[in-house]
Amino acid sequence: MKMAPVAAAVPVLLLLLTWISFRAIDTDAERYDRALKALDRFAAVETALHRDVLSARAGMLRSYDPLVWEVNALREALDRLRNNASEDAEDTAAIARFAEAAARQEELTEQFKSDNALLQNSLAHFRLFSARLSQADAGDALARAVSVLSAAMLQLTLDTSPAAAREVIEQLNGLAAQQFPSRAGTFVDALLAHGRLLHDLLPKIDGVLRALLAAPSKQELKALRTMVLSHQAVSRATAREFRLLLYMTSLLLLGLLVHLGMQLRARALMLRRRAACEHMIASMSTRLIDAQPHEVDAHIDRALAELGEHVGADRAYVVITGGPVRKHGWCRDGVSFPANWPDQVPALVARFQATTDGVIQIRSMDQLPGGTDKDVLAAASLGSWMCVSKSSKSGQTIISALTLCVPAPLPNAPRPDCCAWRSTRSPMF
Amino acid sequence: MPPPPAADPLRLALGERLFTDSRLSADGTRSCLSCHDIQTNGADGNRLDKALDGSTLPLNTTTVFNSALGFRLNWEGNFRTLEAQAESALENQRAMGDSIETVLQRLNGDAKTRRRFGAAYGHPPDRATLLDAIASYERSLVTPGSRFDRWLGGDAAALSAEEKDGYQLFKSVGCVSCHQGVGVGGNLFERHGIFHPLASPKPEILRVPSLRNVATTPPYFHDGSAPTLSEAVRRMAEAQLDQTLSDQQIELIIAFLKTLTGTYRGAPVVAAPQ
Repeated sequence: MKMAPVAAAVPVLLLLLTWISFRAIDTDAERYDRALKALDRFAAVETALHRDVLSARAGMLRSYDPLVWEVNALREALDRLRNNASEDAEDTAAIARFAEAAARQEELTEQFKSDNALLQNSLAHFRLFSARLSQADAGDALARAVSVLSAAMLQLTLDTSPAAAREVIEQLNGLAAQQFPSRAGTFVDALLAHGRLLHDLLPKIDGVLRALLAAPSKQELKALRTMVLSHQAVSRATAREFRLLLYMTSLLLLGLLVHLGMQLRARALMLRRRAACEHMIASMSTRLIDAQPHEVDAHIDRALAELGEHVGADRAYVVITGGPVRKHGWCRDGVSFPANWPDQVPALVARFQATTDGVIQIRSMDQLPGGTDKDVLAAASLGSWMCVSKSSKSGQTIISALTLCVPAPLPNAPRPDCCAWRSTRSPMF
Repeated sequence: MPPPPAADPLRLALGERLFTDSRLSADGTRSCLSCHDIQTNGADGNRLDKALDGSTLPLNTTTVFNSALGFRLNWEGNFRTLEAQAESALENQRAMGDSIETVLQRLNGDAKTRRRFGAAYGHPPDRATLLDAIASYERSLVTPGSRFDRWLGGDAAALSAEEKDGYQLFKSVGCVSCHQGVGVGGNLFERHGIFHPLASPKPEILRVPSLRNVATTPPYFHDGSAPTLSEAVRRMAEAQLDQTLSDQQIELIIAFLKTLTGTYRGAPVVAAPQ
């Protein structure tokens, strides 16, 4: 195996897998979660702010500290949102709109606090002075005027319409035009001053409250939440796709690994076979070299038997021509030698195209085209046939041939390059 | 009153040193302490302080005590954080008058100061750590332990009958509409001169000041035009509430206001010499 492509492929594969793994993690998930949390926090604090503003307006909340904490909390939530938002133009614009709405809300809250402080104070004073002026010693006319003014003011606290405000100002003007005992003067002046302030403040605060409660931050918050959720969904989908890609890549790599393992096993088996074959041939060679002339035929027969057993053949022959023809044959128990075989081998070898090593291998008789050769081979009940021949230098005369007849096609038949079939290595040639 | 926020003692000590360090001013003649005397009331007794060039500053110096309780800083409420206010004061040509970069060069030129910053922040002084050290120290300048706090905490004997009457009057007259919350003020803006003129008309809208330690911080108002607390109470009642208070009512309210004086490092806050 060439190492250079492998060395180049490994870092590339490593980078690719790292990149896919990174994209599959959905690293933005936490950021979007934090952004959503900030939006939730903003919504919750905004609700608390609205509740407290209404409580303060109703006189049930006497301190503005909660409003200060809530405004600060809104700003903190907004900062957290900014820190966790993406930097694309659409998000930035949406957050800017949201921040603008939040700033407007803060401005309205400050306006409310300032006005409500005056309002609560003037309401208390108006109540105090109207009560004092309604006492009997203030005079019936004055008491009546104050009573009517109080009723109009009460109406204005409930309904700040222009008509109600007009009614209050008319009553205030009416009271101012009245003659009243000098001892009541101070109270009347104070009542008028606070009454006029209330006439201005009540509709104004209602307007501030309406604007505050209808502040566009709710719409902006909803739009921003939708945007963040959309980004989060896209981010999750992308991560899911990359996880799938990572899974498929893993399967591919597993397949490749199995393939490589099988190749490795096949090579190991082949090497083992080759080693066994070479060991067998070395034994044969040793025996033949050490053999006395009269023992050679017996050793050839034994070698034929070993070779035939080794490759699973039914029959094995050695035919030596080019002089007096010598034949050696072996067949498996229960198998007989067919007639005229291997007398026809030299003729067959001449007709088949042998490799440069002199190997002829017919893996399956079914693959042979019809004809005499097939008939001859079929007549010998062959499934497949292998032959190693050694010819004279002119190539005309077969001087020796080892032929193995296998009863069935051999899908895993030894390849021609197997040393067992190399005529040059065969001690018999 | 909440306790001061927990802070690194090294940073607090460094902030305290910086607070008194005249190298923070352009000509080396003043430090934060020059106008904010923490040995007395956290401010000074001047009606209006002088700028570096000798001219008069437009607004009375507010106390640094309990400034961390306020929702904004300064009379105009133009700073949200102590860091921002400190940064502005350092660079304001009429206050400390130098750029922070120059101040940092001076501080970095001193090995001891560099070591102190290193111990507190792990590196030599820079803009962020300089402002953080000062602000951290200022956040610690709270004055708990007032008699009013003790009374709110359940100590019925902490206030006398007169002071309790003063508190009731403080509420019924309407002072409490603006001066409420943990700082007894300091949590909203309000325009002044609602019914009658109060003081200098500008700026029209002010941060309502905290009344904590108010008995120790004369003169009063943004222009320092009320030399005594009784005058301040009288004028506030007229201008903001359309009320003419009797001397007795003023005394009762002052009696209550005196219960708002807290302690700093165990000692009661006292007025600065005028």
